[in-house]
Amino acid sequence: MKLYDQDLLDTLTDGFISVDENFTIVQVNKVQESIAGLSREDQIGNNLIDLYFSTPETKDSPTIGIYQKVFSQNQSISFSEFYAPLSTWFQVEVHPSEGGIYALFKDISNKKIHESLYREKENLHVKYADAMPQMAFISDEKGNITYFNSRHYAYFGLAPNDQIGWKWKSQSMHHPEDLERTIKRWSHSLSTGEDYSIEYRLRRHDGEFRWHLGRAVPIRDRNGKILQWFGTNTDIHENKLREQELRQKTSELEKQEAQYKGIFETANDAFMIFDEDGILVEANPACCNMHGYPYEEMIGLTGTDFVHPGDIGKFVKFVIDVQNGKRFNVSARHVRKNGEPFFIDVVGSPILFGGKKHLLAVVRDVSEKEVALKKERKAQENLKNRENEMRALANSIPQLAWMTDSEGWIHWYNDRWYEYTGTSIEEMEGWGWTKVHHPDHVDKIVEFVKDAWNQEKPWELTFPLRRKDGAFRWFLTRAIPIFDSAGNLTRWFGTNTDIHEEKINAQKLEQTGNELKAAVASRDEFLSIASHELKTPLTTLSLQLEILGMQLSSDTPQNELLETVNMTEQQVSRLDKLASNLLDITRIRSGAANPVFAPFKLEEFTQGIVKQHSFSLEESRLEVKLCFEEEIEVLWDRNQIEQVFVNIILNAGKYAAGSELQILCKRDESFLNLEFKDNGPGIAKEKQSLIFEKYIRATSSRKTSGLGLGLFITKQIVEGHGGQISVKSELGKGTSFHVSIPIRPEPV
Amino acid sequence: MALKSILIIDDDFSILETVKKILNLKGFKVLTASNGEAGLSMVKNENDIGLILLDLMMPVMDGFEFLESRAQYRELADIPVIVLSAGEDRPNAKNYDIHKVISKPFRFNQLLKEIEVLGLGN
Repeated sequence: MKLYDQDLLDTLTDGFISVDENFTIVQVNKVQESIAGLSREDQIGNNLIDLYFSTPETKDSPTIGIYQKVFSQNQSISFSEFYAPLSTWFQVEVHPSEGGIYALFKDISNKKIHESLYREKENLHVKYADAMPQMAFISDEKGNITYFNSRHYAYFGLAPNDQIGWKWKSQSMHHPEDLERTIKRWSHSLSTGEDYSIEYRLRRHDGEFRWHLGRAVPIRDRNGKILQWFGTNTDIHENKLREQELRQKTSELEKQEAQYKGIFETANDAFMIFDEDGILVEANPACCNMHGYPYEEMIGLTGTDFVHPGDIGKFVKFVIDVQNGKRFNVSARHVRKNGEPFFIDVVGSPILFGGKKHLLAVVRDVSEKEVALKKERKAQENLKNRENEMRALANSIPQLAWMTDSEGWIHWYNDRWYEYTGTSIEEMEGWGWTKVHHPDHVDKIVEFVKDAWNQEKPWELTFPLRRKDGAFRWFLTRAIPIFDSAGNLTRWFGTNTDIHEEKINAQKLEQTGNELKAAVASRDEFLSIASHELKTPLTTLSLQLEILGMQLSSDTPQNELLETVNMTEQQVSRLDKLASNLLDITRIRSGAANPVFAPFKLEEFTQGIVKQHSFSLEESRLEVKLCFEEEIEVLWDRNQIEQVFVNIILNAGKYAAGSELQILCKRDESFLNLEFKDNGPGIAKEKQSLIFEKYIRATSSRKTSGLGLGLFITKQIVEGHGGQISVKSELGKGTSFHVSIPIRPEPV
Repeated sequence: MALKSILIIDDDFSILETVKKILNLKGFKVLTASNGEAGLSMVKNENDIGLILLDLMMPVMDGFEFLESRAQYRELADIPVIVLSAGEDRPNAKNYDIHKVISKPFRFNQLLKEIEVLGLGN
């Protein structure tokens, strides 16, 4: 058995005792002697068990077993034991040694008392926890909840002991969004021993989730081993809300600040902040660009450095006004670093900057605008001048003239328009012009013009316009659309040229032309008829002369020759009669058109005709009787009506020879009805409708001759007077011509 | 071969009289009618008419109507027609199938020559 240096052993503060394999005490030190109360001589050589563990109090002590274990297993064991005979707690370390073991021990009775107090304290936790205003809990080292305080149950509205263990996980105590986080955090603390701290929402018995601060700290034993966890849940709901609100406000403020910063940095307008002495203390990039200074040079400048000398007064007033709390708005000039002046609009207002009163000026460079404005003014002036010139010009032309807006609304007429129409702008504006148009034309014109406005093409139109005295005169109207440079129609300009004389002349000319044409056609027709009429007797005459020639060359008896000669003479006299008739016909033909109305008394007139032709009527043995109800003054063309009467009367003499002709006259309101009634042979029904046509003779009697135009012309004359002529006849009974003419016909 | 007769249609009595006389002098048989309608009924009744001398301007039925009505009557269609016209609007000989148009006044030899062309002369 190894012996340790006794002196060294005696200096130890712990007790020392060594035994051999038989538990025979080999060495002890002074501390051991003192604790045991036995001298080393009384101990060495004695058996440890006999000496210390043989009393009833000690014989069951586990200490001997531990000694044997160290001995047999050759490894150190440390433990504490209460040694009853000494009423002392010992901390014991037993170590193996050569041929035995040794133990170091010290009195830890005081420490043990502390420990016992500590255990007492554990129970105090519970008592304390119940008294706490917060919710509190205690768990074992594995996190199993062993205890909740009464406040906990009250908050959640649960029965005591309901949530022991890990039940809380499934009992919807936590806000669903917070649960996973909570479990993770709690597990982390359990595995690492770190303090547990978390903010989460817990559901109160009434369902409201309130923010809590959950905290838990481990409770350890003397050796630092975790025995329990002690935790609390503190209601921080109000704080949390305030905090959230604050955070939101802060973030808004930050956002605003960022925006303002952004505006400040990127604005096209210059932002200039002056102190109360008018010194520039802050400027944005736009300000530096506008004035041509780098930022470092810009800051510290004052009005005299960048305000145009002519506008310094404005600057001073600006500073004073803003100092007095007024907003200030002015146009002035600044000067760039390179000396170039430019126009600005500035708005000034007082602001707090760095907690002090400052002046903020927002400056806008309006040089380009100013230049553009001048150009615009100039252009407008030019335009106005041009317009005045144009109006002067328009007033000097002989035509009427007008202008519309882009919609066709007439807003201007020249002086001539008003002179001619005798109207005012109030009457004429817009579509007022329709008032001076002829009612027969205006609808068509309005339709035309509306269409023309849409077409956007120049147009012209001829129509009458009313002069101030009410007379209508013809005008040629021309209108042209006027476009701006972008091709948009801006207005119409129109003129009305008086073409009345030309128009009337043209109308007259056309009428004359038509009349001439008709006259020529009529003459040609007449010549053709005349030639036809002449050719018939000429044909006969020529053939008879040939017959005469044949007869002369043969032995023809004298009397036959004479007969032939006689027949040639007949043809010659026929030709003679035709020639004189042609003159009559010519007279009738040329007079058929354009009756010239003049008043005359009809009965007197008729009597004159009968008297004039009495020789011819006697020859045809026609007796004429006049039956006029009254003497009526008619407004007819005397010469033409004479032709009508002569034609009808002589026709009767021709075809109804030897009979009686009655001329009856009767007024029927504004008309005069005449009837020429004979009791001659009459006209066959089928021929009655033909007698008024050209070249027709109702009978083919060889005793009649003429051009067959008499009744045709008669009808033309009657119709020219606005009247009608018809015939009634029955074979063997006579013929009656009915003529009805207005007493005062309308002029053609 | 018996000589066929010649029909003259004209509304002028002196023409009818004179042309008939001169044709008679030359030995032709002559019939007369004073308008187209009378001429038409003449053609229907007489079957030995070998030629028609036709005036144009006539009452009742004029020469044009007469020519147009030929299409309806077989007996008419085969008879040659010579138009004797005093006017200017004369029918187109081909359109109306007319042998000849002779303007008034005319020489008798003009007519005679055409009659011989048609093979009616002796």
